[in-house]
Amino acid sequence: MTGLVDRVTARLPRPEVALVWLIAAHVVLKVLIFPLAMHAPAYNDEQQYYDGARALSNLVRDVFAFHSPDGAELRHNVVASGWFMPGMAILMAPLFVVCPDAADWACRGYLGLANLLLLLWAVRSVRKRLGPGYAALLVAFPALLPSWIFMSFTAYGDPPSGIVLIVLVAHVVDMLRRFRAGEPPALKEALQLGLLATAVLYLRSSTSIVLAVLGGITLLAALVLLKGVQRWRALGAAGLAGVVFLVLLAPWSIAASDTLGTRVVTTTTVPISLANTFGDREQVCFGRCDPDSFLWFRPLRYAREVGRATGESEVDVEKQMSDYALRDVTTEHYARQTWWNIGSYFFVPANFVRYLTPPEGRSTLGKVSEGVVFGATYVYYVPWFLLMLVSMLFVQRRSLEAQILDTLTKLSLLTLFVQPFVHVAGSRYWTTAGPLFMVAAAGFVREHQVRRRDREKEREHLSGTDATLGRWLRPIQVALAGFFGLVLVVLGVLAV
Amino acid sequence: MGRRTVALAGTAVVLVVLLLSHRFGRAEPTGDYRPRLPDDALATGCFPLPGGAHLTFADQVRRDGDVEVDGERRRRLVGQYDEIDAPAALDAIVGDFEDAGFIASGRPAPYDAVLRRRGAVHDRAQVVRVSVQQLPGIAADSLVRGTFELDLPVVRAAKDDPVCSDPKATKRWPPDYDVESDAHDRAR
Repeated sequence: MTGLVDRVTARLPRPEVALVWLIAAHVVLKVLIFPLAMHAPAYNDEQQYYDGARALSNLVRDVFAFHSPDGAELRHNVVASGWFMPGMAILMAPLFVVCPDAADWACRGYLGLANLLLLLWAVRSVRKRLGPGYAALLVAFPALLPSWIFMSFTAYGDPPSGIVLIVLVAHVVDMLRRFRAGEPPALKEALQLGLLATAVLYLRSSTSIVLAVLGGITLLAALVLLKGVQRWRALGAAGLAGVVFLVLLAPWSIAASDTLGTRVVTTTTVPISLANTFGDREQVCFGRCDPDSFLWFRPLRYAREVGRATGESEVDVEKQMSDYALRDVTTEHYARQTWWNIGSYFFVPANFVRYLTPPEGRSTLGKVSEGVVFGATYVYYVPWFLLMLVSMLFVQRRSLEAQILDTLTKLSLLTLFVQPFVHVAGSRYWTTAGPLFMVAAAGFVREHQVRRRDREKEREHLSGTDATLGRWLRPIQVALAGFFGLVLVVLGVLAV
Repeated sequence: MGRRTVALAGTAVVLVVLLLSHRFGRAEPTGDYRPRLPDDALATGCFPLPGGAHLTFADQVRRDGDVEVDGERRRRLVGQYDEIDAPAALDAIVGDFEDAGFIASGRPAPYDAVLRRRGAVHDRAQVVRVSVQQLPGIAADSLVRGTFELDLPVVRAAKDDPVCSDPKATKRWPPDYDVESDAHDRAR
């Protein structure tokens, strides 16, 4: 494998040149894949994102026409059941401001363009902070994966939140560089960090754990690596980042809490997710739910009915429903269901190509293209996935930078991988972690190359704080890799 | 043109678009992902309880419909009571039927209550039988606390209203209810 990689890398153009070619390839693939998504109407959760965007566009319209906004419409369409934070709705709102009744093809085209601009911005940011190599690799994966490109025409927030997340990780790496040089973060950087974290969360609320961990790491690093006045200034900057995050989160939390009559910080989905995923589905509605409709709507209607009868918030009812349905869960059942979720998290990367189709179905050419996209996705995805998996089980220590990136990647992936432990996973969930798959995989391959080539001088010479940091990081990396392996083994044993 | 000029021009264009946006029309959200909550089954007035009885405690109807019992067609309504325990729920149901002109039998077994209509105590068809059962394993603060089952005389729809044929509201699910046939849900 590495021999092949060596030969390939030897023939590759400089990263800067490769980057341009890769972007061109991405754009060409986008143009080729667009017809597959073009005529698909909003599918499932997309309906809510579209509606949220429409309501937000009306809000903008009203504000700039000096009208009072339609609160009921906003509550019904933006907050709705509190299932989704409105990141994608905000991203889509400009389209409906300009074109209130945008057709399907316009929505798909707009989303594709918005995702392209987001990717280009991320590539620029990663290039500046992690180097042109990683920037090129980001375009190589996931941005050349056919199903990922297809997803870039959808209103699902999973892929764009992954893109913003890699930018956030790059910012954290950059910030740690400054800390090592004894510089506290500038207020502008703190502001950027707060904004990026908010964007990731609004696009995909399940990232709250990874954001908390990254924030915690940055703060801890500032406290450990900086001294005296610098440390205080770093604390101030951290406070600013935190305030920015909370101030931007507040409008959503307040609106959702007000609409649903209870405290909602991000979303309301966790209780029913847990109940539907791990609980006894025959007990979710304190017995069987109504026989009609989609898995998530049956419990919702029941919760609203109980809420209406008792005057309590439907969200509080959902928590009780979840506790009731989960009361007899065995570890074996939990472990087996989690494996099932892990399977759907990692091994169906192309399913959305099948879900989003024109209302009348695909033509013969469409079916063939769908098959090609579906198959090509697997062929290209599997090596990256396997390398990521191996990378999680090994540690990288070719340089301090590599150690830092390895640690951050492992931590981020571990926290993102909590998802299948609490939720029925699906084809799109992995995309939030997609860019980090690339960092993990590329880092592992590079490590292998370096170790084989330079056995003698295995790593750079470090001194002072850097040396201490390097020494400290090593057991942490080993612990993270060990933890990942251990969880897999334990979960395997429990499921048998 | 410097960057500043471009930025200024861009801002101006955006501002003009925003100020004119109300002239482009209004977006029409579908509201599909938060469907309207159907009316409570007994509040629709479609299939009222006998004698116009009205349940006065917090409850939700789970299933309603006609069944064959010992060669006799009866209406079976299953609901859940909230916030109170089985004895209080039974008292409430009996009280509500008594208020509607029913008399509780002194020997209800094997049911928890049997009620007959005042003036028609021997009319078997008019009898109301009540069973109440606390849910097993509920938390101390659980809102939903148990189920009640009413064995009732059959009624026809009291009015000709689309809501009376909507099982989401009436909870009269046809036995062969097919999710796929529900156009609204297929759209999910």
